[in-house]
Amino acid sequence: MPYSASASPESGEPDERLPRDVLDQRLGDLLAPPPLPANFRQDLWRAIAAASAQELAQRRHALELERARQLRRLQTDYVRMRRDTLAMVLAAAVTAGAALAVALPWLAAQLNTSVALLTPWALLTLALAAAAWIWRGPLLALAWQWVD
Amino acid sequence: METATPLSAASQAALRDRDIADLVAGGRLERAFELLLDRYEGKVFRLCAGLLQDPAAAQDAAQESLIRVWRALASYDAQAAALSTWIYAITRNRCLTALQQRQDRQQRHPSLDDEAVREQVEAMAANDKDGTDGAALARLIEQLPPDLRQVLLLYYFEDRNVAELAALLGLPPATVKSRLFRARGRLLEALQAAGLGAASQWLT
Repeated sequence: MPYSASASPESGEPDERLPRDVLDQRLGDLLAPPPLPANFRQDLWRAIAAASAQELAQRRHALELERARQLRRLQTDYVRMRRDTLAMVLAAAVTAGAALAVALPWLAAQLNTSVALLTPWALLTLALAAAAWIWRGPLLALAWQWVD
Repeated sequence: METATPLSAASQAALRDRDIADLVAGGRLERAFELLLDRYEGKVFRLCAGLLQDPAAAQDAAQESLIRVWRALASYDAQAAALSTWIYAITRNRCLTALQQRQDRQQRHPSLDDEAVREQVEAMAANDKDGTDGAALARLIEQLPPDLRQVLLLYYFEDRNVAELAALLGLPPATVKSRLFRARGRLLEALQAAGLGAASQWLT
């Protein structure tokens, strides 16, 4: 059952076909290519527009969800930071108070002065040390600037 | 005298579609897609019709395939594959998904299968010009294994062009020819078994 070979004008390659017999003829009649449905292209563009709108809405929804999630995380982090800061300040105050309660009588005895007179100076020193620790970055930068 | 080496069908298609690739590279996607539709919407629809053998499903699958093509068009790489190869691969994948879904549906509702076959046979028989053996032949075509039936249908849908059919199915031409011959052989056997004439009657 040989193929009939003819040159395909488009490709230049031999275009091999099935034998052109009665069966081929009947199959050719029976298996006609289905016509493209009417308005196929308009429907396609409409579907593309609808799909784009849907995709856009989905993307927007996803972005809104992501924004809400980030806001929630920021809020949680903020609350945690405030709580941690408060805890740290309280801990530092208690520690400083305890340290002063122990150190001040000893220091007053060493300097031969009263605790009442020493307390404001000790608090001032502590406050200045705390401020210097907090502002150490800008202060060091300022110092370097002054040296240069 | 030197003879020019004939280009393969894929290379020919790539050359023909260079204008579309240039438009895509230039960011003119809508114009590129319009040109692409001019060239390929019919082929995509016929490929879907051949693989799915259901006009409504073919229309849906063709539409969804072309929407996927539109979405991915901006990222199309002309160096990686010819436009036609790329479009047909997307279409085949969509049809395979549709076939899988249909198979799942038919496993749940087996009666749908018989109904689809009946509709297909009636649609084919309606194409028959003299009507003598049309319905019987259509029924025998429906009884062919799916891979043979698809190749046979698409061969006639694509005006008996084996090279184009091979490109559509992503198969080597030799495989396509082999399936075509097997499909014809099976049909001839079935025609004789059904008492619809001897082989010599059909092969003249």
